[in-house]
Amino acid sequence: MSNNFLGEASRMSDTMPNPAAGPVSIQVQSILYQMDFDSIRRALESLIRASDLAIASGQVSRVTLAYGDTSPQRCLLEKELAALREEFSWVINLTYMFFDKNLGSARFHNQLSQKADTDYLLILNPDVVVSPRLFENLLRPFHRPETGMAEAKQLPIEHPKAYDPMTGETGWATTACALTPTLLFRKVEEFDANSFFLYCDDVDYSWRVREAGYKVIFAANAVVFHDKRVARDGAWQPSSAERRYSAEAALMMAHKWSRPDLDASIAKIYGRAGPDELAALENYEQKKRAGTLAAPRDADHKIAEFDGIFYTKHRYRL
Amino acid sequence: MLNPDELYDNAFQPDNVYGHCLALLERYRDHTAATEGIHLDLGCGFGRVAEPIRDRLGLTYVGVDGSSAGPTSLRERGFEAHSLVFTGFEQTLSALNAIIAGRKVVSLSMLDTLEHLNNGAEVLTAIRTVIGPNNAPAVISVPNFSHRDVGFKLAFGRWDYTREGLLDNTHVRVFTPEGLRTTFEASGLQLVDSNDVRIVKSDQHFPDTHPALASGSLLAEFLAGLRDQVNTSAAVNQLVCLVLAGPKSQRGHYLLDCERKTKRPFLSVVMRTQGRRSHTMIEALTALAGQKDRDFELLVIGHKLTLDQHLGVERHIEDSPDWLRRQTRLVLVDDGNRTRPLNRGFEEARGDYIVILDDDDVPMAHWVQTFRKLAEEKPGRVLRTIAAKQDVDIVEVLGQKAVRATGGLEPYPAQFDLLQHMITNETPPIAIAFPRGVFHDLNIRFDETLTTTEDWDYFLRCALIVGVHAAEEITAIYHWWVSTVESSRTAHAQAEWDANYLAIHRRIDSMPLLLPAGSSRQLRTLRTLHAARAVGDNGIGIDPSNLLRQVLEILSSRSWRWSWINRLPRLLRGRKDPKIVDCLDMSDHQLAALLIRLRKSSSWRRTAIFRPRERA
Repeated sequence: MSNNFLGEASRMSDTMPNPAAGPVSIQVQSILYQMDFDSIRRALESLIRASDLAIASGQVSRVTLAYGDTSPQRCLLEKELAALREEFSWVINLTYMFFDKNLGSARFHNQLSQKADTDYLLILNPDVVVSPRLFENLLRPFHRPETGMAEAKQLPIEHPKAYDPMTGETGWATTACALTPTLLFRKVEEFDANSFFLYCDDVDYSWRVREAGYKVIFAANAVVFHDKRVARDGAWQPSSAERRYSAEAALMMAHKWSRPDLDASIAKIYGRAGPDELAALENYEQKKRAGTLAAPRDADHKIAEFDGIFYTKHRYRL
Repeated sequence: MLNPDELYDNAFQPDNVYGHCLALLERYRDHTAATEGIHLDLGCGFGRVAEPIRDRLGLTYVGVDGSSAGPTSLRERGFEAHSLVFTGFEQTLSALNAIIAGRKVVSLSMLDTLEHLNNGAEVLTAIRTVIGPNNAPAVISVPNFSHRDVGFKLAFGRWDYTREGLLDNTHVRVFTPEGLRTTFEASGLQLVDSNDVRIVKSDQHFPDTHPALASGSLLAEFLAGLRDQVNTSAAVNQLVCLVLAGPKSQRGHYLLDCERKTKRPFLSVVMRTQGRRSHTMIEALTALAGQKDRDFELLVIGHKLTLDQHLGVERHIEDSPDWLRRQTRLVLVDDGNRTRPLNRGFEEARGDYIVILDDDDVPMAHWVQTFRKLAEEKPGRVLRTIAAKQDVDIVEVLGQKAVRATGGLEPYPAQFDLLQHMITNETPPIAIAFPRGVFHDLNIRFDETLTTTEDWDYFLRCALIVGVHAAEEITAIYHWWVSTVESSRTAHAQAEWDANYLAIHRRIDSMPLLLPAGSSRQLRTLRTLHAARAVGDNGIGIDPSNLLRQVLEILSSRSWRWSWINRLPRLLRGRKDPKIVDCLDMSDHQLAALLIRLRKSSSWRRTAIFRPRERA
């Protein structure tokens, strides 16, 4: 856990910031991986507008945008970065780190968060286009001190996981766009970058937020647009990488959240599945043999909720 | 004016150009003015309108013509008449002033003359100068070149000059209603009223059996149906206009090179809203902000908005990112049913293509991009993609209204089937982009008598003229409100839906149809199926009630799979066996065609021995 730099509000006290008490500061952080400039700019223009509106409404004091680039070559050249800074510095403070390696989004989000001096972190996919009043709508759940994480609703494909239609309470939040207090992020020891490369770092983080006594809220009116497409029959078409890393994450989740029974059955299934699943299984077994798997937690199964291949109940099947 | 083969001596008749001219002059006659003034008739010919003008309007008639025969006749009948050939502006004006000789010009006419003049614009400017001081009206008539008899023949390569008439061999300019208006405005004449002469069968209505002209011809009926929809001038023989002196327009009487191709956005997105569902509109606007292709304009059509709703809609537009805000216009419509905003939106649209996006639907990132790809492949067709229906409801999370999906995605049929669409609609409006020409050039408008299914009606009428080009790709989510929200589905009674449904069928039944290639095969299949149903046994064992099941039964049967060797020669020639996954997207017609093919195949017939139940 990195406690060397606490946010403005957090430095003053150990209590979570409350947006009802006054304007709060936010660091938006996105991990770039081989994204073209147009896509970055498209998302950025909407983020700028949302930031401008949030600051103008007095709910947000300042917004920092931290890009971490894990691509083999920079997504943003110096001159492009300079142009973006010049154009948008009146609204946001834009930082950029070129990591020159890809060790998974979780690890780099953790790195970016270490420099955050803001009350909140908004974990955001770099290609996500936010709605204009996103910040206000995502901050609203934090008026209740028990909220530890608030997630935006994704368009055009809404996530089918269950949530309470009155309170928004849900089992876990996707970090395509999710807000969490910086202090809490550090308190629950950030994303588990050792266990999760690409997927389920958000499920795991959500469960640890809940384990710490906070609630995860699905803010259905805080909408963002995430370019997702479906096959002709309306079903997902996962890529090879998506299959590989979600398979690996499934094994990690079952192990870490004390479901050896599930772990074994998943392993059995993957043993008979395609090359992506086999690769995932092999990596998992290797870590197991090396003893580098995370220590299991939630032995009483009070937090984790496995529902078949899902991490909470789903309202419908996609 | 000067036609060596024609004297243009036509008698005055109430229903010819003279009668129509007189009616216009009577309509705008200033009864308070004294009658001491002249009516100047330019290009008067034999001036057969002179007597009625004198007798009914009480004016002094003065005829002016380039020939000598006409003025001579007029003078013999006791009228003042002058011979004058119009040349340039200065000369014409000077000569006219000499003729007027300080008298008051009360009115002016120039009938069927302008089309003979090489210097028409200068003569019109001279007319403006003459009628300006007294605000005198001028009646000007020209033959209507856009008469369907001329246009339809020309469309098939025929052009018949005649001694006189619509295509008089001495015409040097041709006019359409719009062309005449711009010509007037370029010379500072403002069109005030018109009293056109209508002749359904003009002097160009020959040969009688020309398929584009003959009233009994299907082609003529089809063309006339389209042409009559555009404007009312298809059967106008002469355009008879009353003009007054006014400001000169900046535009000339012809298009400049830069005006031939107007720079347009690729797509106009017409978003109807009643301002009642902020939460859905925000979703739709956010989805637009996420478009990969930004070459579109957004027309938000606010329908019957209260002040609060109006302010709310403005707020959402104002909240949008700068680039989207700059491309957005709000148009307010305060009357009509739910169809009126569509017509207003389409009128305002500047894009090459126009799409309807209701404020509760969500396009995907490649929505505009896919339409563009289709447009590049088949320009001018209606463009169709796939929408996926999704059940949604409203929730209030922490007191904030939001949309909540309650079901998975249910795509509409992937393959576009026009005949199926003639039975029922399988394409929500968000998945259709219309070429602007169908609305702006052919004037095909939404039927405002329909209170529901107006989009289906419009889609069909356009598809049956320009065709459809489709992409088998899901590009949008069409929200289907399941309970708590008022939508067109819940706001209208079933009887109303049924009535509109029947009205659309009646309309299609009454018009000749233009069907795309492949339709006859579909129709043959339908006919076969129909006959099979009628006799109860079609000899090939088809039950029309569940075609997909029957196809899948064959494709997954052992008989079919094990008989692949029979099909080997064809497979080697590149012909592929149908795949089950492809069948899932097929329409009934396509399934029926496939089923017939499978049942008739040698593979199936030869293996009948292994299907004892079938033999029994």
